[in-house]
Amino acid sequence: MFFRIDPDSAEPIFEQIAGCVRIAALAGDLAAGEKLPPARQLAESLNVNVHTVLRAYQDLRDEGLIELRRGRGATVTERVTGYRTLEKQLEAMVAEAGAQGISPRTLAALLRDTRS
Amino acid sequence: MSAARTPVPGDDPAVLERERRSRFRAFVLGVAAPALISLLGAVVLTLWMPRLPERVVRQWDFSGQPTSTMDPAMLWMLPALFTAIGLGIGLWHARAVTADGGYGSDARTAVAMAPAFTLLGWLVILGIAGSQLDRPAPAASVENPLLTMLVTPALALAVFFAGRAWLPKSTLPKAEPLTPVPLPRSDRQQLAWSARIGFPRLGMIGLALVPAAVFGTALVLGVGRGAGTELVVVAAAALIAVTGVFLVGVWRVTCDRSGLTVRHPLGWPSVRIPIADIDRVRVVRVQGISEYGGFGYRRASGGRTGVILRSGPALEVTRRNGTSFLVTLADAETAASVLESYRRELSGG
Repeated sequence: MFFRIDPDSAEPIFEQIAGCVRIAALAGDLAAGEKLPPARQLAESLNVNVHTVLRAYQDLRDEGLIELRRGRGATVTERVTGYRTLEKQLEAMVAEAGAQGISPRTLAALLRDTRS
Repeated sequence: MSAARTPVPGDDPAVLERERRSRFRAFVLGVAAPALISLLGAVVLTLWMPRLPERVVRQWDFSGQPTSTMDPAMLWMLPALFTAIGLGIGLWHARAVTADGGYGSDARTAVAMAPAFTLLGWLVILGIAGSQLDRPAPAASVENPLLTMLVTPALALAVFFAGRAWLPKSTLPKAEPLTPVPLPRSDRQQLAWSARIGFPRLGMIGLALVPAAVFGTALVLGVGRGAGTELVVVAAAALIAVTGVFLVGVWRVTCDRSGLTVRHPLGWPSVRIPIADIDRVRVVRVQGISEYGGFGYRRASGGRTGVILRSGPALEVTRRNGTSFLVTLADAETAASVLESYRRELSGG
């Protein structure tokens, strides 16, 4: 799974890390039962504090995408299959937005507004 | 062995015919031949059982003198093990028909191993048993079946090479190594790629089941027949085999600013190549059996080592001292791009 974080971004780093996992789930790169990198190891790789990675993993656990168990690390749950279904719907939505001249940035803003 | 796929519009009839022939021959070599050899061997060994002494010689020293004996029931173990290994490896690879309807080098080697392994197991055991028919104890009167030990590997090799040649060969050209494209990155951005890789789950279960089945068979055959020592040896061997499968079957691969790390989840074994030691990064296609002689942590000629868990795409890292390390990855391209980004930055390339 690919991670890219930017300390200069306005988005908090833990959100960026969680976002990388969500993107991998949407792209079908994660399967149920798969293990995410151990928090300490990922923190070293990305040169961030281990608590930042743990915060990202806790958010992913709260939304049901992963399970956290002491000694067993972070494991992807069955919910990942729903993400794949969602990806197809998102592709259709992006295509429809494109057909109507709505930019991806505007579409993202609309989605954020809908969520809030 | 999977059935032939359903043709789709645009399929080349010649390729379909070739694919059908490939699958038929793989079935003959990978299933029918081992089954027939096992059936014949089992009939002969069953007929011979009443004519064997209470303890049969299983080991000879260099001068030809017997050094240890075993219960005759243990004679079933070796053919059972060899047949299971041969069938498992053969069946697993027989599915891999290439786009031109043939088999790649690995698949041909693996499928041809099925009848060769089965034949080897049975001939060795029938040779040992045959040399001890109608012999009363003590076992010292038994001669070393040296001829059997020399002839059977030769026969097995002949079957292997004939079988391999009989399987239709894929003529698809080997994919050229791919140089990864570095990922754009600002100074403060951090990139990392990480994945847990392992043998396919079915393969892991199959590999673990073989020693477990062997021990189970030994238990059934040996209990109550005074085969205590043999059972301990078989149990130890089975335990070592299962441990070995799990020790080399699961790894965590990390590519980041520090370089490449391939580590077992327990922390050992571990391979680490610092980014400063990396001279070249490529994506290559490997054939596990033909190029590395199998799967797991492997060594090959030319200073190449690797964690080879399947045939297919692999990340290849060449160190500054010229040696290279490979690890098979489904997404080798992204992993290679992360390493290449940091490597180029460090070398100013």
